[in-house]
Amino acid sequence: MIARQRADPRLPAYLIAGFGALLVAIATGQGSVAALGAPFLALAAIGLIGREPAVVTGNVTLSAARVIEGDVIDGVVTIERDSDAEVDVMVAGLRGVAPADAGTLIGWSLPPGSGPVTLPFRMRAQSWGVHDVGTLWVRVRRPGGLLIREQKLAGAPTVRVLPTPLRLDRLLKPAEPRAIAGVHRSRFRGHGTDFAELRPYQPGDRLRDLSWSTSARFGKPWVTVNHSERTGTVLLLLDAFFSEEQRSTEALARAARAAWAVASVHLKAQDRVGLLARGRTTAWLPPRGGRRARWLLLDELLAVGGATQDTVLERRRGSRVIVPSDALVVGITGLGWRQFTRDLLHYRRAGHPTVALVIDTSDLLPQSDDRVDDAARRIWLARRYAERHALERGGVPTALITAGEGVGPAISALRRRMVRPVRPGALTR
Amino acid sequence: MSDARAVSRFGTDAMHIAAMALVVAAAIAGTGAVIGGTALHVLGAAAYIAIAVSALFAPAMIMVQVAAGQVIVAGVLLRPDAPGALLRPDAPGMLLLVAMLIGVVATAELLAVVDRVVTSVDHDPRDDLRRAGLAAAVAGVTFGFVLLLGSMPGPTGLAAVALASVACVIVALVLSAQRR
Repeated sequence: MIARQRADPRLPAYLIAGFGALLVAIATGQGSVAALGAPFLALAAIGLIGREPAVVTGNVTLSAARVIEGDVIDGVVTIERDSDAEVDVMVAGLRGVAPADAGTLIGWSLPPGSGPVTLPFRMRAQSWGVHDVGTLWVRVRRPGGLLIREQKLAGAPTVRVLPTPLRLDRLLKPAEPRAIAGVHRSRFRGHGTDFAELRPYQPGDRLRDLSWSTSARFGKPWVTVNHSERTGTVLLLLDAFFSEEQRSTEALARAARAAWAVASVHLKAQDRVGLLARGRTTAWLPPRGGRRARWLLLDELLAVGGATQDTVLERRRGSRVIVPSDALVVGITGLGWRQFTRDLLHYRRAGHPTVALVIDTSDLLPQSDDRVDDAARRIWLARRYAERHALERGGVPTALITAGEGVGPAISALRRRMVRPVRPGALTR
Repeated sequence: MSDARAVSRFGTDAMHIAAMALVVAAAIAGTGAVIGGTALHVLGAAAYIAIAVSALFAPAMIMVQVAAGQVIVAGVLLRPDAPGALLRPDAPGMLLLVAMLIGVVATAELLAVVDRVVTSVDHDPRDDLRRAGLAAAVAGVTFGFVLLLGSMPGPTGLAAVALASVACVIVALVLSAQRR
């Protein structure tokens, strides 16, 4: 909790005027000058009596944690004063949201009093993303006091704002034709149409699966085993891109486009597509895709971003989610978190086919002529290269999604490498 | 239901209070210039008004405004034609001097109210204005008390030292209370 005590501008004025007059009076022997200082000293003394401001606690609650752009969010600020105090309350630093009513600030000035106070307010979500809905600040003083305590009471909760349908359609376009559908085949056998193998009949096999010709040849019953109609399971492992800046929103949009490009083609191929955020339960996309699936995808991405700020989820991050044995794991990452690389390598070592789509965000780095900034940029790039190299060495093919070329070439490159693995450690594109 | 008062919006009340502060400051400056009667007093009066205006935008200037007001009052009190003579309840123009001192305090208090009203969204300044009046009254009463003290028999220098000692004791008590 940040707290700072400062004096009202009148306090130093009264002290200087009071003591200054006394000093001049003593120095010059003019008693009448001392009389001029007396009122100011009296006012300063009155302002300092009972100088410890009241203890104030408070928080901000929102009616919804997930909204769509343009929605109104109802919130309540709760303030508790343990004794008589004047309190100015301010919710400052709004990002991505704005007061629903006219005006640019959400603030109140509470008259002298004590006890609990509830202050309702309304905000409107303005842009999609994960937004920290400002910070709750208070300015506390005893009635008539000349000392003020400014205090940050609490950070307001975060809200996930999903794009409007129109913006969603612009953000996540239909997948590009080049796809990785069909590259992998389910390890499950089942009642599909694709031939898998012939094997001797076992109790429980369906009679319709008997291969009459093979049975006649070997003189005992054999059955045909097919691959399941469900071609496979694809899990999109999502990395966090969240921060307060617009640049990160763009990075998030790129990640969403990549994830949706992969997801949509697999959904069309009747794959089961799940979203796997670190330390979070897998969410399965609706089989038909569509707007709901895209919202779900974005919501999961935003939730992952929010998790970077959440200490509870931070603890859970260490535990990896167990994925289905037939799953293809596709990591969507900016390679900003070392743990994410470890997670991908873990799934690869566990026997899952694993690939990584690396979102290139180097063009989003702020431009600067400063040598320190330049060095930091090069360190960041080198670190990302090292992470990518570690993935390649661990048998996880990677492909870079650049701002200019889009998702298609990267997916094609991955497809080629999954069909014909290249030597470990060789980076492409 | 909000417990906050939503009486005044930024703008109107802040402007009214600021205008009030400037009127009081102008009255003090004008009185000082008239009583002083010299070019220096007129110049000081103009500077005082300028300082009061600047304090509307920079609250830290309240400190300068109080000091400048004190100098104006001291200039009237110690003018060459009546050195130290005004420090008696029955001295001529004493009420005017008390009013000027009260005006300096009132100006500072009103400027502080303006600062508070401007930085709050919904703020009812009635409590602050009441407090500004109280502060001005305290200043007047204290000044009157000191005048009575000055009228008591004894050297004026002794009264000054006694007053300084009492003030130091009060401040020391307040500071020690803060440590606890």
